[in-house]
Amino acid sequence: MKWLKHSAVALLLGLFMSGCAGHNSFRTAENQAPVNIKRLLLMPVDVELSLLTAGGIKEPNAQWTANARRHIADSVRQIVKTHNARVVNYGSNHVQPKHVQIVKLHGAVGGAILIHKYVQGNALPTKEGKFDWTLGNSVNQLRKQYNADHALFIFMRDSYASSGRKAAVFVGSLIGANVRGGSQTGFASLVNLRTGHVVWFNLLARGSGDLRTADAARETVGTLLAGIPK
Amino acid sequence: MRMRTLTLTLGAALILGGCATGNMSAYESGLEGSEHDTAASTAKTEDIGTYRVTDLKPGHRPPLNTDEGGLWMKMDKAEGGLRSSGNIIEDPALNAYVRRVTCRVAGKYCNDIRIYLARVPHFNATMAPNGAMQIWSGLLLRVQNEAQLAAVIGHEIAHYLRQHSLKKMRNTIDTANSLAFFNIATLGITAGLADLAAVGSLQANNRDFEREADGYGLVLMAKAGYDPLEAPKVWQNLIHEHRAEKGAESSAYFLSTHPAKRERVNALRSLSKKAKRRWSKARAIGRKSYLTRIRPYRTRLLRDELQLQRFKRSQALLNLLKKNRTGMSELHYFQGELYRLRNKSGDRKLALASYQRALRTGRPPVELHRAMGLLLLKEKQQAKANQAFDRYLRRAPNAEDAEMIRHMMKRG
Repeated sequence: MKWLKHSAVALLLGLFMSGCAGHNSFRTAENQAPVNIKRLLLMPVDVELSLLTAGGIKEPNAQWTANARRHIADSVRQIVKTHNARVVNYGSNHVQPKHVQIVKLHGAVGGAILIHKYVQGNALPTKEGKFDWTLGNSVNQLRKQYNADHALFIFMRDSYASSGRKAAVFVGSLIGANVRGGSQTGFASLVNLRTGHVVWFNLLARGSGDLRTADAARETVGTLLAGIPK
Repeated sequence: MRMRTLTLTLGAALILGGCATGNMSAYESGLEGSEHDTAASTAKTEDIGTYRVTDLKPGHRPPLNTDEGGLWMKMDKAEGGLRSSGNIIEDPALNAYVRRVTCRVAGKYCNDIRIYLARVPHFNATMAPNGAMQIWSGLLLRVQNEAQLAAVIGHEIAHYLRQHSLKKMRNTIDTANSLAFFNIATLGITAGLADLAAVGSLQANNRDFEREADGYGLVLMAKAGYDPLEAPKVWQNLIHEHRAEKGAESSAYFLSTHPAKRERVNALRSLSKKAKRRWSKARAIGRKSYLTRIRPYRTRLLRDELQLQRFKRSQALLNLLKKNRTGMSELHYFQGELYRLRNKSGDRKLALASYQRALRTGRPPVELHRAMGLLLLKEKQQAKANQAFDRYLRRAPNAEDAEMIRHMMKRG
């Protein structure tokens, strides 16, 4: 089921790739005053890197994914450091059973934000001009367990064109067929662990970017976290 | 756009299993091959490697930088989701029992298989490439003995040992790749035809995998000492249920348009006879042990079954279960429930008669009294309904619906 949900989110992110997202990041209106991050808990990053084969099927790559997870964590740590805050490690790549419901809830809320804030024609009348999504006080247990004030959730799906795919893109461009290459899609959301509010949310959807090397990952994470409140 | 449609189509083909024709050599080879080896060395025939699965060692875990490693990563994640889906039957005794049967069939691969009993009232079992095996509760309700359960488990383990998912993924990618340039060059104008052919060839592949799993499954169960003749009975019972639902005529039509189903049962039957000759000591059926283990859960499984409201199939299933003569009181109760939920003219009387029979036969589930009360209310027999409700409340004083039932009693 989680697989299904992920596919749905991935499909949704695919939609943004077709170029309908104008607005990128959102912040809660009530928290326009500076969000004060001291200790930021980085939740297990939900990331998957795959090879885009000539026929357009994505072949997941575990080695790239493992590297990317490390690069993302390193980059987040560096960025947060420049904000005079520090990252608290979750301590595992896997969500602990007692936090599964929080992560699932975040997935549902994040999905709703994507649908209702980014896809044109899906705006909710009750959310017009507002950004007041919340996970409720269930997140309090994370605050207590990790002594952290905010949590950062990151979801990333990257694909890289195989040489066969690159050839297909090239041939396609010669004869005017639209064959897409690799892409980078994902989102990040910042949650206040006292109130449960999603205080900041950002979407990344582009045809470039890389997470396979440390340098490229720094650029990607920098773009993903651009404008995150200090 | 064309490409995306193709991706979706192929993705769907990857997920859907096949059902149709093909040659039988793929899985017969496992059986035939084993016969040649018997004379040479007994020790060797005990080794599953005889069936050419030596490429997969016990404790197999693919390297991260391979396509198989990527597939396992995805499956490990999906397995995490399955574990927390809230749909898994966690009962330790039932899980331990299914694990014992699994280990008997899987032998030295036992530790590579993780079992998830999913509460889904349909007949199905699945195997993920990383060894996560799902068995649905509707299947547990339907198999009639341990050997039939072992037949299903053997089939699923064969998928794992033969790495069918990995082969499917590779086939799908190869097929899509071979189509890519063709589709671009024709700007997708003739792509539909090519896609169709490609999907057709993928489905043929899937059918071969199913056949192979049938054959290897038989070998695995027979080697574990289970009577292979029980394997085709699983399918026979399913076809029987289907026939009950659709009626004999449309069922004949169904089988003629899906010759594969009938052919697969026939093939399985003749193959099971061969296996029986080859492993003549494979006699274990385990009818009683299975029925005893499943008995404590049967009430819940039957409740889920009736929720589906497919009464003809449920009736065929109840008839099958009644033949076992175990827990008859409960079966009479569910017979009554079937009538009550179906609610055709005359069904109320039939339901009440079944409830009475259940009460005479033994100790049916307490909900019987509530169901009886509800029916009597509809029959405008408030006094008798109150008595039934009263019996329900005395036996289940903490029932969630106790307040509602009390309210219904006051109505009179």
